[in-house]
Amino acid sequence: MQQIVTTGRLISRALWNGFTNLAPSNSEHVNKKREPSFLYAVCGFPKESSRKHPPVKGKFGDDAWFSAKGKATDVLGVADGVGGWRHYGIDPGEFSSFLMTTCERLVSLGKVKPNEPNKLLAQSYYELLENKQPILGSSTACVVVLNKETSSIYTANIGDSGFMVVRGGHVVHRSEEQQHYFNTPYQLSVPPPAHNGQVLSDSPDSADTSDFAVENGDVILLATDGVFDNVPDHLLLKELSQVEGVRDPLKLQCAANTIAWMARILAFDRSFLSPFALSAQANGINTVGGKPDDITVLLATIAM
Amino acid sequence: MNEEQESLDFTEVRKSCRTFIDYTCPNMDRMEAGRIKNQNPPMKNFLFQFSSEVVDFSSQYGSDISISYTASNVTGRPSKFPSYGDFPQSYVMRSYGAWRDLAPSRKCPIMPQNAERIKSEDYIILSFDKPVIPMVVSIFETFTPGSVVRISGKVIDLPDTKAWRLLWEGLPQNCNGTRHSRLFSPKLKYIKEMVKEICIEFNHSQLDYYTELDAVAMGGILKLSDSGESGFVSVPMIIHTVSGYVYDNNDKRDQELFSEIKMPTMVSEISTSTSYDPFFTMIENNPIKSECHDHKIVVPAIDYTLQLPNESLLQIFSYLDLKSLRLCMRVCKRFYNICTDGYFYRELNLKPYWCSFSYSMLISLEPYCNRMTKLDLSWCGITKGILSTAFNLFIEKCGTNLTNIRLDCCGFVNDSTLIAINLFCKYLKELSLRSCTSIDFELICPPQSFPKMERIDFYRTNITTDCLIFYITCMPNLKHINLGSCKKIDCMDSVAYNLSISNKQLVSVDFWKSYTLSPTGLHHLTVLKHLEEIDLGWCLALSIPGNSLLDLVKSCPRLKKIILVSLRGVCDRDLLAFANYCPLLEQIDLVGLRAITVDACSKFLQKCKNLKLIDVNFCENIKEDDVKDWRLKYPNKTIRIQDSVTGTGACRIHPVALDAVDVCPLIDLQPFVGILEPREDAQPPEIDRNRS
Repeated sequence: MQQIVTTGRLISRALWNGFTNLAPSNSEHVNKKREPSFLYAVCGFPKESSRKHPPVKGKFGDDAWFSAKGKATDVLGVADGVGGWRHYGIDPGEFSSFLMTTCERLVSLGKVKPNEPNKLLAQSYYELLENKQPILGSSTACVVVLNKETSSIYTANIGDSGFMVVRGGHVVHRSEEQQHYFNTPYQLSVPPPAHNGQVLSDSPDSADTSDFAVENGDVILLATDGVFDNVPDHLLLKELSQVEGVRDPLKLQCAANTIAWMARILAFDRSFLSPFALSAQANGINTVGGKPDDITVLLATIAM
Repeated sequence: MNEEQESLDFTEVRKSCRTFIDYTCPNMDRMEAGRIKNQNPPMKNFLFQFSSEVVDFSSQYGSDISISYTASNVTGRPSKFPSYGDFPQSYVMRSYGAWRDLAPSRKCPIMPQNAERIKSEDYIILSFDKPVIPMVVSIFETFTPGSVVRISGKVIDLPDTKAWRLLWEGLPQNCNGTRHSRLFSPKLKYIKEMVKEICIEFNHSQLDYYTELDAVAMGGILKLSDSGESGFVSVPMIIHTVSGYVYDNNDKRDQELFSEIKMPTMVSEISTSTSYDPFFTMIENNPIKSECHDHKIVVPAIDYTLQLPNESLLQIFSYLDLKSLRLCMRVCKRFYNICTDGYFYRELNLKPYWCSFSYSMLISLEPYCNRMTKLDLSWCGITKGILSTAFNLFIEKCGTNLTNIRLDCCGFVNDSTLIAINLFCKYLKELSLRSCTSIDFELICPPQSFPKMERIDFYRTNITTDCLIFYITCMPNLKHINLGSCKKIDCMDSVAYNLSISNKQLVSVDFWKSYTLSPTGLHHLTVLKHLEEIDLGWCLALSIPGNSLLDLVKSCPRLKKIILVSLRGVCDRDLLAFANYCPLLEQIDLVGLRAITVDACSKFLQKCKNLKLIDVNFCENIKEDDVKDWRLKYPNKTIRIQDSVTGTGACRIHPVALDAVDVCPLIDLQPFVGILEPREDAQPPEIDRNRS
């Protein structure tokens, strides 16, 4: 069946190409009108999968993600709730999940300009304060906004979640980790009233922003630190360069699964010299092995 | 043959309605996916659509810069329906129940005899993508449903003042205690015109808590002329079927009434004068508010009224609403003279006629209004029937004695209007400018503007800090001020400072959603000894109030109403101070205060003898069981807490709710009862915590 479909597609494409070759001016016109969009797949694992909490869409443990479509934008985002709040009786996943679902609503309500991803994060953060139910905690966050009109991505990143853009087997653009000190990333937070001032709280304005022109077939990996702390770059690059230009959602999903699974295995490998262990050693802490954490992988290709 | 077709088409309509609902409720589609496949596609000429844009609204719980609890949430598909609960993803208005009328800041009604039979307190106007002949309006209510009282449609291609048609009207439905979301689709009056915008009016007086709306949909026939082309032959047939039962008897009765009144012989000069009376024709042609009165005017053989002195007639007529007055005017010369007496127009309330309000209506009343003291033109800007210049002229002519002016939601009010009011209304005591968003507050009135002003309402206006400070410094007698949701005020602390210096008589002050009010500003207010009501809801800069709240209650012993929603740092110490220092306290709102404990709250309840309302929703430490105990112990006090049923995914339309409402016969609601069964997997994350 699939063969028939693909052959059908090939034939129609060939036919189309034939037509466009006959009328080159027309083809230019068509190319101009084509808009890029994200083709994406998600995969992830919570740190401790329990039967108690059934899987919820948009959440892997304390990690949360969203995807949304605005007027001329496609938006993807991940957030990683800071686990330390568990000691205070606060569910860290709630904060990150609320942050992401609010981002999703903001985008679909059309309240976001494509070139201001940091404002998206900021507004989503302030929406937390507008909620009757006090949601406390803190979270790192990273959003990637694709502006369809200019075919470029605008990103905002706060903390140690991040993204990388791969083209032609090379990383052409990536986020920078924002840390106060080792293992303490920048974070958006709403602390309990009594703990104000004692808690690290970065304003959403401190988000790292960038913009980057994308091309057809570019691969974007958006992931939480559970991935970047455990999987070395060369392994990620190997996987990512295989899906460049891939339009088959199944293939994309396979790649996302592979990365997530890889991260999961390496996280629990006690002898593996993970990027996290390397970073720890650089900070004078002698350790080896992965860092068990929630894992979220959003893998997207640009399709024009 | 004909009958067969009729019944067939009726099921078609019903099917497409149902399919529409199935498609459009995302939370249901997994369960319903199988069923939809078996259904026919929606009928060609029948279109169901969700509102695409909010045109206008009177009030909202959220602030303009946010998306939580704001009006824009009502657009698009339902996001939470059929879940039941207090969700930030819905549209919430500013009040519920009768609590506002019990507060020190309550407003006296203007021209109460002219109020509509079913009073509306809030409205929202929604626009849809395509105009249709409306047959169904479905309102998705996710929390404390039952406040919709009126739905009207705006016919396209007509001037605004003549475009509004009443589609449905009814009493607020008492759904308290149902705890289920509701799909409200009342039986509409059938009109033959295309409607693109609808206005929904609300009355909150019966509500237990804030009502929340998730979405609004309108279904109707796209275009009659298209019916031939699309192969859908019998659209008129449906209309016939539908019109059989939607035509309300009320209309006919009204027509009789009017015809009866027109019949008696009239003095020629009056009939000519009334025939040029645009106000009368306005009301007469106004189909939306044609409910008039139920009694019939019977003309007796002997006119006893002749034997009554004018004074008595004056007294009797003073109970009549404006429309009846205009009708009596046409009875005879004597009645005409009496009815045009300025006595009846000392108070003028045109809010019930907002849907047909125009300049000519105001002009027709102008000759009698020279003694007018109170004027309520709230909502009258919706129809855009008047320009600010025309209104300014009216104020110039009739405004000299005005003491109260209410111009809520009037788009025509701008800076020049304010100047005019300032120039001509020297005795003004009350000025209400709620939701007048077109005032820029750039032109500042000359000093000594409003020496007698007692009440001013700037809710949701664009007033700036400088302008506001200027105003309050020249109003030494100010008693009530509302500064809620004024997003352009960038330094509320200095406003508070100026209030404390120049307005020592202040009784109530509303700082709702004033993000820049800090503990320092609150400290300034401690000199206001007469303060009875203070609203500090969502003043986020106050979330750690320190000692400021404590000092305030210590120095304001008369406080009767305190709103502290979301001041997360308020703790037991503050609560007990309220109990100790404010013996008169009647209403307190503690929504979202994490730190309040059960013990402190019990002590508080014990000490506050006059307390009538306490709201402890989203207070983490207070559980439903505690509240149950308190309710038994203090039966006279209303204690609000989110019930555990709330939000557990309870999502069927309660049978009681079904019986109570006038369900649109087009939608067969039976299938929903099945669809909307509670589901285990789709619990919103907000609620999980509440239950644990």
